[in-house]
Amino acid sequence: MAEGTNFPLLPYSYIVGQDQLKWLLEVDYVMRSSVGGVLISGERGTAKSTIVRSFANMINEKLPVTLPINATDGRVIGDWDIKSLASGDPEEKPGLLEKAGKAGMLYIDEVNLLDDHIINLILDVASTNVLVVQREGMDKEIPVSFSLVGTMNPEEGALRPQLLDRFGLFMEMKAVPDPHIRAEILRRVLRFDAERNRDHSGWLDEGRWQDNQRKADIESAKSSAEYIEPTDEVVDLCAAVAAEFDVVGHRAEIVMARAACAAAALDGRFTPASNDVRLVAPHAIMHRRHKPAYTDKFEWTQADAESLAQVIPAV
Amino acid sequence: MRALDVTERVSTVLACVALDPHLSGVLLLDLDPVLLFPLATWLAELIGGRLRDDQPPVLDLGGRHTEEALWGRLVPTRHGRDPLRWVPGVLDGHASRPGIVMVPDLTRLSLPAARAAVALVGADVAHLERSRQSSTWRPRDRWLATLRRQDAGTVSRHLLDRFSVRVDAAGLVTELRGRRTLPPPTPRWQHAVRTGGYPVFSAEAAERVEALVSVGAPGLRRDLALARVARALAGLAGEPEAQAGHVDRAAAFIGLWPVAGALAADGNPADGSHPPDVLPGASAASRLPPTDLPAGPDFPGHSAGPHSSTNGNGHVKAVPAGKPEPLPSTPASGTPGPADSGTPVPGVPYPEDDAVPRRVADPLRFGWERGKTGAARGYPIGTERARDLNDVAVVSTLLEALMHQVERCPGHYQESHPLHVRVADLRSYRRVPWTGHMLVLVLDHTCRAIDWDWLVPLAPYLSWAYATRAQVGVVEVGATDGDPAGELRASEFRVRNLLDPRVEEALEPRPGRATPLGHGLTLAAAILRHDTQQGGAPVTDARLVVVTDGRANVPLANSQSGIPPANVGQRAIHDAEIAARAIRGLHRVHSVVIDPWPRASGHLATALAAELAAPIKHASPDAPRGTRGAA
Repeated sequence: MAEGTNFPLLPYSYIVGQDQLKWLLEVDYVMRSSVGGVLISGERGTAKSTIVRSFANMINEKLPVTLPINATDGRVIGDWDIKSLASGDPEEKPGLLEKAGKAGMLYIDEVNLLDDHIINLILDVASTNVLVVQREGMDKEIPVSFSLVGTMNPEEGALRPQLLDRFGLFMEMKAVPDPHIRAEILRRVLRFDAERNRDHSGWLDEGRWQDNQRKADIESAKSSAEYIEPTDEVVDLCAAVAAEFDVVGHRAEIVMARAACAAAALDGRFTPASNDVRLVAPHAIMHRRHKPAYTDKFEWTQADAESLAQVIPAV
Repeated sequence: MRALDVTERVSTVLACVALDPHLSGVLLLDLDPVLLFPLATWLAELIGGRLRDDQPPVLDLGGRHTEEALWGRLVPTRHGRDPLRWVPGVLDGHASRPGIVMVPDLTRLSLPAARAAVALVGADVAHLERSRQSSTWRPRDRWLATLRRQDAGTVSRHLLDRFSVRVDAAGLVTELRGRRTLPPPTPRWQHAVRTGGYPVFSAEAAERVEALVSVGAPGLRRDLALARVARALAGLAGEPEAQAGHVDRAAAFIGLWPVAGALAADGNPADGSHPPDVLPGASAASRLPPTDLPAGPDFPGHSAGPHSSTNGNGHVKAVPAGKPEPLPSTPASGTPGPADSGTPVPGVPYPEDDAVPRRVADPLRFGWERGKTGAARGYPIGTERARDLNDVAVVSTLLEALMHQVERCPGHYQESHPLHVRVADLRSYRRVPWTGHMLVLVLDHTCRAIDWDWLVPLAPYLSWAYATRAQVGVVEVGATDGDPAGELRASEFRVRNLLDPRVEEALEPRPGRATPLGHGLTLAAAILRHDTQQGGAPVTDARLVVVTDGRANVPLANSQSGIPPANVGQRAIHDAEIAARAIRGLHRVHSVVIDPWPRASGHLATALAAELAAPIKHASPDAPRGTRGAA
């Protein structure tokens, strides 16, 4: 595949390690906008962006709609095509938010480096699911619903709490400590360097085939998730966990319940169990607790795990 | 035993970069920035060959690049129906072929450029979404940056991590004749770069990488950089597979491990040591003996001996870098780092790990501009939608309006009349964060002869400067640096903020014997006058803090002439008072005198404060010592 015109990405199935993040992205996709996306915060060089792009590429067979840090407001909410405008026959050029609504996902790389006025635009849409554009002769309202996926390095500053809350799930990424797994990651990446330069790569074909298999499983889970409702027991558990951790607002327990349903669907079940809640709970509440909401870093400590275990004993 | 010299180190790493475009961010530690261009052209020639048209373009990325210059901008054209044309920015890889981006000083990279580097260096995919332009490309530029080790704490670690290929370039010099910094690449290197391709990376090599890179290293970029350099070394040597020995060589070249520089002819460490077991328990890989010498025969000029090279005419001559240097490395017997001092270790390729952070908070974010007036803002780095009528960017506003002329006036281009501009078109400048605050310290080192700690009375002012991110000017009076003639003059410097290490150095006591207070206050007045009094002065709130007991023994004329005074009398004190009086007349300046009271000559400080119209504060005689960390 020629480089520069296409973007061969590492097949999702070839990603070594970081299974928790992969699982969270799948959970989010299965329930899509009702979970609200994933914020991935982690140290440098942990393949945050790579995993997101590979996941989107597997699902949609193209790059995710991406909002880069160089974006200007016109490209975010939409503007006019210059040539058509100058010729007196103006055509609108859809913005990234509108595109994301069609693709189902908006990916923001380095989300904590975004301009504040861009963040305000995203917040408006994320909170109402409606894109309202009234500028430069445009006057339109478009229903827009997408999953917000962001990556950030917490060393560069925190997110505003309003934006933080818009991400349904939170994942703190750390480098893989096991040297043998790291070595395997190295070999995989270096192999990919070489294979993507070839005109044809059987290795990449095999990866794409594996991706298709995984995608079929995830789509199947997505279909069945439409029929899964949280049981009263699960709802009570979610509320109990939220109360135990004194989270801000009620979005945490809602996300928790929906994510538990997605977890059950991915596991081939039609009924969420307490263990599903136990697995998703840290990711739904970590960034919504009162105390750490204004700090740069969110951690899930051993004490947190013990508190959670008191509410939901391990199966 | 053979040591790597700096010329070999730098040229080999750059050859690896030429071979593998994934090695896209190179940090040349302690390189004289003047040499960056010769290195970039050397790399361009190796990549593209002798014909200039085939070589990647070399771009100099300095401290003044705006977002528009980097990413692109709309410019008006003379074609009536197509009034605007998109001009790609210098980093728009979708519109231009891969190049070599030079960053002569990473600490001075502009904020937009630093953000761009984070988005581009080493990235698989880049996106541009600006001004009605939308494009996606795979970044292929190679970035070469220089950084002094001592400045590592001032740069965002996020940004530094993008420059994961490191090489110690201290001591590299240019030949006076020919302006060649590195010897020409060997034919083998040229052939390897021309043909490309990647050797297989063996499992043993991967295990070796993990044994060499500290387990506490952030992410995997360092591992990958080491592995890719090792693979490129194998490729340059024409070998089909990268082995553990290539990793050892690569570690030596980037300064991770000294063994390759201290290998005996049999390929074993000359001192009998083995690679440092950076992983607890010493993995099997880390116990593997080093297998090969650095690729000596491949290095241009090595056939003529380690200290000589061959120029383009085949003439053997001395390598400009001179004698071989000790290999940049961690101590073989232990882990690196003067944990007690926090000073970067010479030779370690990641000085930011041990450097004391001196960067501002959130260094890659555009700052808040709340409450700023036009005069209190920095230089433009872009434009944004205007929120009020202050600081309107006229050209951008007109360009914005230009696009809507036909919509607003269908016959606009058939008739001759002005543009139709609406409120929605208004754009204002986005400027670098600029505080509008300034702290000027006049530090009389000779008044530190008594036992007091001036950091205690200075602490509130330093805190204010930190909180407001004020610019800082420092005037040192009576500081000795071993040059008696130099003591006759005060010295001054200005820095962007309090975190600059020079401020802390200035606060260290270095009392000399001369006290040119008049000259010091004259320099302070010049700094204050420059930034607070001229035209649209950027500083609206300047604070002058003079730490002195008021004594002076060098008249201003002697400071200016450099001739030691024969008979001082009251002239030196009188000159100081005159200079103080001049400062009193400056508006936007608030002064204070800190006097190490009580002293017999305390009235002199009081008199000086009166001339400055400044309050005088006496340092408490009970001021605790050892609060240096407050700075």
